[in-house]
Amino acid sequence: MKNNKVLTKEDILHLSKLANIKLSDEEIKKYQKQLSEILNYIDQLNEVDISQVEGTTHTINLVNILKDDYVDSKRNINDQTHLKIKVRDNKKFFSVSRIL
Amino acid sequence: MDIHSYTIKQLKDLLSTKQVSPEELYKLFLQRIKKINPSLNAFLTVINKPNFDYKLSHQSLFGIPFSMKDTYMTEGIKTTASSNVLKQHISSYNSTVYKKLLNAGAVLIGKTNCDAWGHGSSTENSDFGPTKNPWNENYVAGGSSGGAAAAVAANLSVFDIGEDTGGSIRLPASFCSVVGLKVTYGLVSRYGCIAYASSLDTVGPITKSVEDCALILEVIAGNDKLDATSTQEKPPQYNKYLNNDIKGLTIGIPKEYFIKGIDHEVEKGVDDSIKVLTKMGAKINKISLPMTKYSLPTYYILATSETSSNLARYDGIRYGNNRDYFGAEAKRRIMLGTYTLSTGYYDAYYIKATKVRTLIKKDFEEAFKKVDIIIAPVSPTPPFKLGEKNNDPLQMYLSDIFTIPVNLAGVPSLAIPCGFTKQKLPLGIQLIGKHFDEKRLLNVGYRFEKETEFFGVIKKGLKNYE
Repeated sequence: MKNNKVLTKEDILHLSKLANIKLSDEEIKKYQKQLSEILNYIDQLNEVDISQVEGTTHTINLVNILKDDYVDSKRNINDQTHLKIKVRDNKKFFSVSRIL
Repeated sequence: MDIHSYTIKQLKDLLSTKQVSPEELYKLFLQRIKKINPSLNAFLTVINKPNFDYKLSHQSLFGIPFSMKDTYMTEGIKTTASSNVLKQHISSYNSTVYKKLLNAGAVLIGKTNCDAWGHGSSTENSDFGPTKNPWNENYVAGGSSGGAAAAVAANLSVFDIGEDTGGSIRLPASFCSVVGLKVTYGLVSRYGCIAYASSLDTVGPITKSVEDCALILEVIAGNDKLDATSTQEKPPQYNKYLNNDIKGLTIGIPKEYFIKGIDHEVEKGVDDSIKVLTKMGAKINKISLPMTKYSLPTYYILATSETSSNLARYDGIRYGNNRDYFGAEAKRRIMLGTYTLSTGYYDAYYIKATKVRTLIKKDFEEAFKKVDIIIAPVSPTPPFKLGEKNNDPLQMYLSDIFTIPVNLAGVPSLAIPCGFTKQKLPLGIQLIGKHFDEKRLLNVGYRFEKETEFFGVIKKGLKNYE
């Protein structure tokens, strides 16, 4: 049964906030339509019986790799000129907008 | 001399007998790029001053010019993921695959164009313009590794390293008539590869011949302690198995891949290839992959969920531009993935998709109990025109229906050319194998190539296979 899902403007604004992406009014309308269509297409997964199935997140047999906690100085980033580092009081920082 | 069309083996012969020097060879490719790239737009960055380390002159790839999709970190060299967010971004460290190729003596000539962040099937989602198909510039080169495939097809570099998450090596390789390998997940290190979907992304070669592909795979495959998802299995010497006889090989044809709506010429390309393989002694079995139709919706939940997480780091704080610089497709996928992971929808979408993924993987495991490899088309259509699928994102997503199930199952697949359409556009097939069975795929691909030269015999000598 086709479920005609229609995302509302509020849905899109909520997503825009969660994803930290600013959208124009035109973009909100466009994504409302496109994302609704895609979600309707995705709804066919409801036909599948997954009651006895466990999810897959890795397709090969992986085990957790644990490492010793030490600094390998060979892997330091030596050339930091391409990073947006600011220096204050002889210390290096990244600058962010005020949060509080 | 058409040395710009030579394979790695042929170029190594020239270099080792000093008929050409590494500097001369590089200059030749550089001149071709300057002449041809303006119309193709395969390269985003070209390196004019190469570094030849003669201490590496005995290494397997010494002096061979190669390119890389612009999603690989290459220290000191611009790496953009074809996005305005990273428009001026210079890599601060090397990806493992790049380091391995440098240690083998290969020399980077440039970074190639792609759909931004790997999001796309045509390279039309690049923020720096699409890449044209070298066989006909009105058509797309495929995606997302379109620049990579076009560069190799147009002989602007000898090989490229692409990246396949839902078909992004196989589709452009098919559209440009070159060889492309999607490896088993975990075979090649993803350290330094700009992540699209971490449980699906694979690193792989795009080459002119199957032998070249095996050569590159020997250099780049294997465990990397910097990538926790990298396999512990030691890879075999792929070159050793290329010439094995394929008599008695069983090949599965999935009935779900030959449904109404598949292009007649694409279907014929697969049929012609099957005739060749049968003549060479392979046996064909019809098989079923019942979960096929659910692969696309499963992928568009999992890949978008994972990409919404992976692209969260691009905030313009430590490097790059802020999130206003994302293109339309990136925004679309990020928001879709945000929705499918959000409270209230996580179970209905993300968790459900991981469970359907188990069933899709099981389809392949069951099939490989009956057959050695599976043959399938790569794209449901031949290459399409620039702009043809731009208005409907869902139409574009449908380009990946035959490639996506392979990524969800984590199995390997080799895309090889199998002829041309009446309009002289490339056609390709894919050979899909069990986990870590690349040596068999390369063997079958190599024997197929020797038998047909990919399209010479098929076009001119098909009567030998009727």
